[in-house]
Amino acid sequence: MITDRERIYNELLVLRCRRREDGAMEELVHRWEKRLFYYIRRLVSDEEDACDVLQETWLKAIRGIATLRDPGILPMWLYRIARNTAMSRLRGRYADKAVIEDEPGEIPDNGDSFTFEDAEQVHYGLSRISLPHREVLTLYFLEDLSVDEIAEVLGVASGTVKSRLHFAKKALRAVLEQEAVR
Amino acid sequence: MTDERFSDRLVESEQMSPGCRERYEREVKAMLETRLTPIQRFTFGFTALVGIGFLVVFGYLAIMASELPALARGGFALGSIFGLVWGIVAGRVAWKGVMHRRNIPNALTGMVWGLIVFVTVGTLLVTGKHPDSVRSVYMVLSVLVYFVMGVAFVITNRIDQTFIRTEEKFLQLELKLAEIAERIGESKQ
Repeated sequence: MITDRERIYNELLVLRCRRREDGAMEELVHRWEKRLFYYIRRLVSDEEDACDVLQETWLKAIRGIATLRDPGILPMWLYRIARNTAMSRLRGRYADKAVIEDEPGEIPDNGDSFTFEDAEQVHYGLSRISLPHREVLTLYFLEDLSVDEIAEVLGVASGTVKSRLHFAKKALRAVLEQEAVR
Repeated sequence: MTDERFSDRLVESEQMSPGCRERYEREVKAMLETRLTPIQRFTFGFTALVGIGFLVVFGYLAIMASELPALARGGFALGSIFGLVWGIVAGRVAWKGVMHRRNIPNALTGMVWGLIVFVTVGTLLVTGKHPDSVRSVYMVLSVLVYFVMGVAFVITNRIDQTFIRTEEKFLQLELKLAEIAERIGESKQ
């Protein structure tokens, strides 16, 4: 998860942006663009489209940062803008697919023991699983948000996120194991 | 994100292509600042000169026109300050050739305040010489409404800025403590 120092620094950055300090907005963009692009890219298959979504995300963030009263929610706020922008751009293509039947709520205890350490393998694996699983797992692996915050971004209950995460990890593990056998 | 975490390595797996990056950077830069056309730059330059003109003329009247009532001279003094603000803001924009989106609201606050003060003082001066006293009272009352609204706007803005700065100070302290705690944690390991 994000460290205390990073969390406080992010909050300070929001206040500096709200105060319209020189360079603060540029720093915000620089600090978050790669992570947002990674997330958007997992939602949008075309790179050009992803670039447009990222630009639009920044446009909304620049316009809205003055109204962000709680600086603590910056990561969640940015991911939510990115998601909504991607959704509205790809409405039809994305939104239809994103509606999945949520897996049953029961989560077995032994399922999460597998650890994902190889970033490149995970990156590859993410491209092989379903979009809703990919999305929840991407937010989880980006380590910026808690489960509750991921739920806020996705607009679902925390329990649903936990359940979705469990099945997404299972799906990813299956993909990676299959790849290891080849 | 400074420390190398799993997420940092994961993010590095996805790189923007050079063409896409170039376009993206250009667009984001354009979002943060609006580059002025030569005509716009000239207009800002001209506005700055007009502002400086106000500063000189009104400043001169405020200081030298001793036959005018104190209220009128005060109005001219405020008018000259207003001209100075216009001159500085417009001159800065014209000199740099770019207008930063983030700077506009701050400048706007100053401009709105200046305009309100200027109009209020101007109206008070005119009403002082108006023969119809009833109309004068109406004029004063209506301009005072705008003046009070302007004061409320400026005060709200100042409170907001002060609140942000106070919050910032607390967070800076918190950040220092978090850094110290991190260093202690590292030295223990």
